[in-house]
Amino acid sequence: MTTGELVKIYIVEDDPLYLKFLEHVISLNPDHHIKKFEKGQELLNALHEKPSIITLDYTLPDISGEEVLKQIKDYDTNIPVIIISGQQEIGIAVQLLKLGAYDYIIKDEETQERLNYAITNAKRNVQLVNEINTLKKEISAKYEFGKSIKGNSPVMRGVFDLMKKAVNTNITVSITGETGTGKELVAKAIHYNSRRSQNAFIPVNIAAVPRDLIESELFGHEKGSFTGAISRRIGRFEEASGGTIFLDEIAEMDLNIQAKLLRVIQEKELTRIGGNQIISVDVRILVATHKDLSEEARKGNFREDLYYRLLGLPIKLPPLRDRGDDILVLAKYFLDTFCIENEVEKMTISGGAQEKLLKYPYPGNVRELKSIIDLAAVMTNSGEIQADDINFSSVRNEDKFTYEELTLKEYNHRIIDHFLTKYNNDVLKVSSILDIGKSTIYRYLKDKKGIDLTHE
Amino acid sequence: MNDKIIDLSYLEIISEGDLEFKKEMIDTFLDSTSSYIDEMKACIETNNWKKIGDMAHSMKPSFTLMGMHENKELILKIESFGRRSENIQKIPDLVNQLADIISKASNELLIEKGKLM
Repeated sequence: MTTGELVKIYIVEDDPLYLKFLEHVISLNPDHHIKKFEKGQELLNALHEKPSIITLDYTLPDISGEEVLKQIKDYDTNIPVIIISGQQEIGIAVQLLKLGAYDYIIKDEETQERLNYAITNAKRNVQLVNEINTLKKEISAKYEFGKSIKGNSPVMRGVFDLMKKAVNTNITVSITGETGTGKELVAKAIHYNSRRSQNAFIPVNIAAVPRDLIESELFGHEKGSFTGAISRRIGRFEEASGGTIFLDEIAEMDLNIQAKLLRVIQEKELTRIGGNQIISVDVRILVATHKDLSEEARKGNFREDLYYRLLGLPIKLPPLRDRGDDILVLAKYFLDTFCIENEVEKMTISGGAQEKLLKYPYPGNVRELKSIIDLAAVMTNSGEIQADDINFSSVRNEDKFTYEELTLKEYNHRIIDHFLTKYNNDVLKVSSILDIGKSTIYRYLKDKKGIDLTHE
Repeated sequence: MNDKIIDLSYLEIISEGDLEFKKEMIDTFLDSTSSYIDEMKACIETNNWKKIGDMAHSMKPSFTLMGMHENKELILKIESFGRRSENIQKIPDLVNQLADIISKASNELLIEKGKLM
């Protein structure tokens, strides 16, 4: 709410003289648009007009100020309500502040000054709330299905179907898939499309937190509960209350922490380390792992009871190599994003480059594809990415021989050629290493003239 | 000794020289307080002490706005006795005293209003 922006201030006051006084004081700022009400019910009927700030007399002819305050807060907890009252009892003020009143001002000679101060602060507060809401909407829009997660392949359509089921319920979701398949993205999309989207999404990578600190990280600690606990710390579960916690790499969790997590899930309450207070938490849990959690449970590395608790709705993300043309959909999306972020003209991907992208196995999955496209966009000398601009630097030797889908004969040539180069064309040595006859190598060398082996 | 009931110095400050606002405030005081007094007297007839207390409560800020500091004790007594239904036998007399005060204050305000014309 910046200077010059209209602020709707609704005044509820039954005494005509004081109403006039408040109207005068508040209207001294030309940005304030005032509407007056003599009865509580009249204001409640006008809440749909979305006032920015309400000043409320405690003693009204029809409904008590306390009841009006409750109903305003039920309608929209973010509207600042400034109580202006002749009641000087501290108990009443405390009670109203507890119910969510923004400020409590006594009707005396300091009213004008205090009211101006309260309105200025409330406007700042409203501005911050609006900014937060705008950011929340932007984040929600960013994680809309189809926007954050791209793909039209049948396997991804299956994933989207499961995600839609996940957003409509509170069920725990376990997301599995190779590294780089987008597990956190799926978790965020589920949260920001669910009823909890207005509350926090708290991601915790279990593998990234030192083992000694994970309990404190998740459940918090009280001051002095251990060496180094110099102040109270709120844990991630408390931070996520009302929202969602995403426990990534859950398979890496120690067994003793697993026991505590199980209790929190079952009881919906926790105790900070070194504390006695039982704290209720209302948290939706999403977990992810690249490991087979059932196998970990079978091996005894993961509690079986916790495994069944966390399994919930399982969503298995396919590796990128199994997603067919999604590779190109994603490649084009990453390229467009790169161009926008780097303020360069829109680029395209040549047919040859597309073919090359489709053949690669992507051990690093979507994350790797993004790096490949970013690098290609940097390396290309034109507005179109060519096959030569695509660099699979991370490819492992064993993958190299499979991703291009050659014939067995072509693979044989590749292998022989590789070792001949390595051992300076020593046919005897290569035949020994590969356990094949020398004549086989000579035959291949003869055939080589007709086969291009140079593109290794 | 200054025996004036009202002191408009606070109203001067908040009006910031807006004469129209001052006139409106005086008119509103004259209208609203006479209504309160009429209603209080009617409530005495029906022994509705709680409502008398509530009306006294509503009138309190008017005393601040018009600088009627000397008489705040009176309005507080009526508010307290009425709302708690205590010393109810004293309430009619206190309301009569209040009516006198309001009458004198109104006369003073009419003079002040005349000066604004």
